[in-house]
Amino acid sequence: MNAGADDYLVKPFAFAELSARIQALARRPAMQADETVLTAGDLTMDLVRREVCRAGQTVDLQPREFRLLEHLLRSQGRVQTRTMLLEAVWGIHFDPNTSVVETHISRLRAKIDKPFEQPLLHTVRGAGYMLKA
Amino acid sequence: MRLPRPVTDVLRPLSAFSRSASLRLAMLVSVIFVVAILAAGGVSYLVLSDQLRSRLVQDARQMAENLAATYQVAGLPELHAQIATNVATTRGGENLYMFMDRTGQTVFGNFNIRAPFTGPRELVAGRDIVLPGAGAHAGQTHFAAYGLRLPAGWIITGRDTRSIASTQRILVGAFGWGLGLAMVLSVALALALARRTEARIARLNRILEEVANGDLSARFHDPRPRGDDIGRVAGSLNEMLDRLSMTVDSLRQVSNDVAHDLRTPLTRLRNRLEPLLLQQDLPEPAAQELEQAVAEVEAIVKTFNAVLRIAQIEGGRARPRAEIVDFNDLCSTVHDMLDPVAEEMGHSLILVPAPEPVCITGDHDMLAQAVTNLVENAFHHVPPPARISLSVQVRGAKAFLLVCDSGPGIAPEERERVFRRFYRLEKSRGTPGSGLGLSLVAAIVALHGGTIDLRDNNPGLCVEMSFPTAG
Repeated sequence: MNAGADDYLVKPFAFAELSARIQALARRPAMQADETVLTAGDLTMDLVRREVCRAGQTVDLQPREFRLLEHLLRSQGRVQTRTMLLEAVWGIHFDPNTSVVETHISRLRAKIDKPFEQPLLHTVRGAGYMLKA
Repeated sequence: MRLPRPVTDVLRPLSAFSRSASLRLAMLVSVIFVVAILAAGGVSYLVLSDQLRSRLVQDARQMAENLAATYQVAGLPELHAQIATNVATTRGGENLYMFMDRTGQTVFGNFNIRAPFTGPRELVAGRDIVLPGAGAHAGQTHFAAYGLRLPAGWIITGRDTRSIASTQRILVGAFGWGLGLAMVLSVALALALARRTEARIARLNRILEEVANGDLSARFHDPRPRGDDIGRVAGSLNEMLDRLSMTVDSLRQVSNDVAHDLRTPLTRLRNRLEPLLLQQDLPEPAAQELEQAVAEVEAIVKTFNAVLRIAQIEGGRARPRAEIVDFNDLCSTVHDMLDPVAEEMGHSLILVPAPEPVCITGDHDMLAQAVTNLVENAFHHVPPPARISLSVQVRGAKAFLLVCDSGPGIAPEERERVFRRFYRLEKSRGTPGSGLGLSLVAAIVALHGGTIDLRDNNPGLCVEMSFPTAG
């Protein structure tokens, strides 16, 4: 990684994992260090005030839910596999034996999607999750 | 009842004696050695005494024969003169000289005897003979005497046997000193030899204990190799251990090879199934079946990955990154990740951090995996609602990570076995898992120079990992 690689996968890998990672790299926007507000449809995230609103209502998120949503917002429109989310949110590179990602996603979904009509957080069967307005 | 100290002190060498075969053997050899020396000394004492005595008898006879020759050549007056000269020159009455004529009337010499005799005889002063002019102290003096019959009478001569007694005393004295010295030397030598043999046997024993504790790489190294019996036993032992570890290695290699060779086709299988999942027009039951199938394949691949990961770590091929890891940080990440899962499953996961950061040098990812594995083990093996605690402690130069639960625990006799690959407790057969979790944890802990211990939490199980702290 230090030699200039952007990402790596250990053989043998799932095809879905590879394609999700390639897409993530290909569509990576230019560095936006000064970005302070992230949006997707009627959802906005203020990174400075650590606030999330959907359709004008404030959504109360725990720090880990905030980090998960932030990552999904930054990579919206692209599939995020479970291992990608584990790496991005908790910085770990192994597979837990329990449904860690599923649990966190379902909690986040309950807060940002459930009370509203239009779902933003989609499950991509066999691959992972994607935030899309 | 406690024995008073002096008694136990006295008993200690005895118990060492009964515990050590080589010490017993050494002592037996010492005793036999001493008995042999005593027998040899006794025999030489008897032979020497006999020789001295017969030499004195020879002397007495020679003296008598000399006097007889004087008589035959020069007659009675010359014999008388010779005896007088001899008597005058004998020191302290050492020698006896006497002539008695046939009638027993004319007697001259330095003693008196009631009845003359011929041949060798032992005479005791006061009993057999009378020594004129000798005090009471001369009584009981023994003489080796010889009587010679002449036509004119008898010549009787004798020699004091006190010289034998003094030679015997010198012999016994010299022998006593020699025996003492020999005893001290032989016991010391026996003890030293026994100690040396004992030390080698003790080392052999330690090697066997290490092997029994699972360290197959233990070998007996003789600082000075000898081809003796213990050396040969050690050689055979080393050879046996070489074979044993080779067998264990090849067994392990087989499982690694199976994992490695099956992982690739299984991944291909998953990659064939996955695109089907993305097809939107798939009927729902088929899509669900397909999803299940992919999940099963993934579980198998995960097991194989775990086997290979353990092999990598144990084989030293996985180099841990050397970063500073704060256990408080690590446990808070794991807690953050697993807390909702615990709630979902009906458990409660409690984080008990140390008041100060607890840092070790190691690989954050591997250590996080170890802790995650242990907490997830508790999730699976303890019926909800379980109280699982994740604690960080520091004692001296050791950092501790503890994962404790309130479940059924593990019986003490099972505790060693759960670290074996694919080992599963009878009651856990129905729960998810591959039986590799604890093996992986143990491998990661060993790689970090730590120890892992399973303890009773009364009730429940406490897994305690300890590591040397950084700095």
